Amino acid sequence: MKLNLLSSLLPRVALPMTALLALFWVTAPQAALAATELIVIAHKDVALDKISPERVTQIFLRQQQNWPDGQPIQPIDLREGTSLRRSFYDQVTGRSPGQLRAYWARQSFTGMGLPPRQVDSDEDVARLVQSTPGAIGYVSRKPSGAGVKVLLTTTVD
Amino acid sequence: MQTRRERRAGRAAAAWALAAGMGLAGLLTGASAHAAGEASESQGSTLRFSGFAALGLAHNDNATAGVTTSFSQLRPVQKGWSANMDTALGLQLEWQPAQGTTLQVQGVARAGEDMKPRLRIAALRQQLGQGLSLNLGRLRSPLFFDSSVAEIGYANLSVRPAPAIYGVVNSVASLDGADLQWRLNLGDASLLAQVFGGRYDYTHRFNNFAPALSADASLRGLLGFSLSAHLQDLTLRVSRTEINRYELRSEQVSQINSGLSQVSGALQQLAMNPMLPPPMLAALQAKSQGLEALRNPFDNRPVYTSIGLDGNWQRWRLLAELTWMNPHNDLVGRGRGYSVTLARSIGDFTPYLSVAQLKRSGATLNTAALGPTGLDPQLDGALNQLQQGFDRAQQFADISSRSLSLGLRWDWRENMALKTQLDLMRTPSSGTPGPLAVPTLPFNNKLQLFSVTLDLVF
Repeated sequence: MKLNLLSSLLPRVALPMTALLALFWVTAPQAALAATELIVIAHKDVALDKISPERVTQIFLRQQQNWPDGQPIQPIDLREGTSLRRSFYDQVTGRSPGQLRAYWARQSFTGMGLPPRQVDSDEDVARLVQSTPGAIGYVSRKPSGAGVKVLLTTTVD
Repeated sequence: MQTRRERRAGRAAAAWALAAGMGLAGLLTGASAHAAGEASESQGSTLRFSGFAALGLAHNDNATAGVTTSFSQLRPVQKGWSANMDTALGLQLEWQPAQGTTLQVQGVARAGEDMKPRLRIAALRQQLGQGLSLNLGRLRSPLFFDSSVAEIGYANLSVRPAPAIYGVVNSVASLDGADLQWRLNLGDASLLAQVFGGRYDYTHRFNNFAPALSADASLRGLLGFSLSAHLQDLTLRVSRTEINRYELRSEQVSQINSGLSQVSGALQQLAMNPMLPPPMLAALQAKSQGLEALRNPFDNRPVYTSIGLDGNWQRWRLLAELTWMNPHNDLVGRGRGYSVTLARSIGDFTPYLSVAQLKRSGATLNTAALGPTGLDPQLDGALNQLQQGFDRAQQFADISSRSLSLGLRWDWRENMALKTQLDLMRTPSSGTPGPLAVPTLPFNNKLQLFSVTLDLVF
C-alpha cells in the first residue's frame, strides 16, 4: 500500500524536482560566467603597492583625500548606470546606488564635498589614471603599459 | 489696487508655479540633468548646477493641534491634508574658479513658509592642504547629526528627522560665519574634526497663539565643534554647540517688559514710603529686583549636544542619536532626547521603524516676585495678570513629546525616492502642547500624521 502511494506520488514530485535541478544546472554556470574581475589601479607614482577595500571605500567617498606621502588623491569614477560601477559600489563599498546617491546628496548639499570625477568607460579611466598624478580608478581589465600600478584585484558578480 | 494679502497670494502663486515647474523639470529630466552636470565637470567645466526637491502631502487627524517641522514654519499642518510639512525646493550653484577653491550658493523655498526663497548656503570653500579646509560665509547648520540635511528629503532615510527632537534646532537652518574642517585617517577610520562659529537671525513663530505671533530671533556668539568617525559600515558623530546670546524680540515681549517695568516702578515708589517697617521695605526692594530679572523671559544661552550613529550591517541599517539641550533659562528648561530608527533593505524597498522622544526637565522659573504685596489692590491686580501670563508661558514652553513612526522608502529611480510614513505623536498631557501648534489648552494630545513624499535630487 505504502509502495503504491509512493509510486503514485513520485511522478508528481519528480517533475518539479527535475525542473528545479535543471534550473540550478542552467543558472549555476551562468553565475560563474557572469563573474568579472575588478582591478583597482593607481598612477605609477602613488606611494602604495596594495590597498584594502575599506581604504578604497574611503577614497571613493572622499573621506580620505591624501595619499600617505601627502599627495592629493584624484579618484576617477565610472558614470552612473554602468554595470561595473554598480558592482564596485555594491561589493567593494557595500553601498547600493540609492545609498550612494543619498550619501552624495548629503555631502554636496551641505558643502562637505563633491563626488569623484566621472568618465564613460574603462579606457577613459585607465587613460586618466595613467596621466594624472595621484589618480586612482577601477577597471575590468589590467591596462597595458607601465603608467599604472595594480593596487587591488577582486572578483565581482 | 492690490491689497497686501493679494500681493502676497500673487507672490506665493508665482513661487508655486516656479516650484512646480522646477519639480516637474526635475522629475522629467532628473537623470539627464544630473548626467549633464557630471559631463560638464568631466570636460573640465568649473560650474555645476544641482538641486533637490520634495513634493509631500501630509494628513493630520487632530483638530486641536497643528504640526510643524520647526519653530520658523509659518503655516502648520492643521487637520486634513496639507503640503506644508515637507514640500521644498532647493537649487544650488557651485563654481570652482581654481583647484581647491569652490564658491557655493544654495537657496531653498518651503511650502510651509509660502515658498519664500531663503539663502541656506553662500560660501567660499578653500582647501588649505594637509586635510584642512575652510568654509566662509553662510553655511548649513551643524547642530545635530541630521541638522544639515533635515530638509533634503532624499538624503534622509525617512520622510524627515523626528520633529520631537529636531523641531527645536531646525529653526536654526544656517550659520553666518566660518568653519574649519580637518580630515585625518587612522587605520581604516576616517576622522573629520570641524570647528565652527558665527551668528544667525530668523523669524521665530509662536504658533501657540491664534493668530500666531512672530518674534525676531537673533543668535550671537555661536561656537561649536563636531567630531565624526567614518568606518566601512559605521559613522559616529559627536557635537557640541554653545550660543552666547539667543534673543527673542517682539511686540509682545516689549509689552511684558513694559508691564514689568511699570510694576517694578510702582513697587519702588511704595518702598519710598518712610512709614514702612524696614523688613517690608527690604521685601519690596527684593520684589522689584525680582521683577527686573524676569525681563526678556525667552532669552537664553543654549548648549546643544548630540551623539549619533549611522550603521549598516548586511541589509540592516540603524540610525540612533542622543541629544541634550541646556538653554540656561528657567522658563524653557533643559531637554534630553533620543531617536532610533531601524531599517531593512529588500531590493529597492526599505521599510523602517522609528521612535523618538524629548523630555524636558529643570524648568523652575522663580515667579515669587509676582506674588501679591497686600498693600495696593491695583498693584496686586497687575502682578496677578503678569503671574498668569508667566504661568501660561511656562506651560507652552514645555516642548516634551514622543513619536513612533512606521515608514517605507522606495528608491524607484536612481535620483528619486517615494516614501510613505505614519507618525503617532503625543505629548505628556492634554495641558502640554509639546512642539505642536496648539492655540488653546487643554487639547487632544494624541496625533496621527500620515505622509506621502516624492524626494528627488537633480
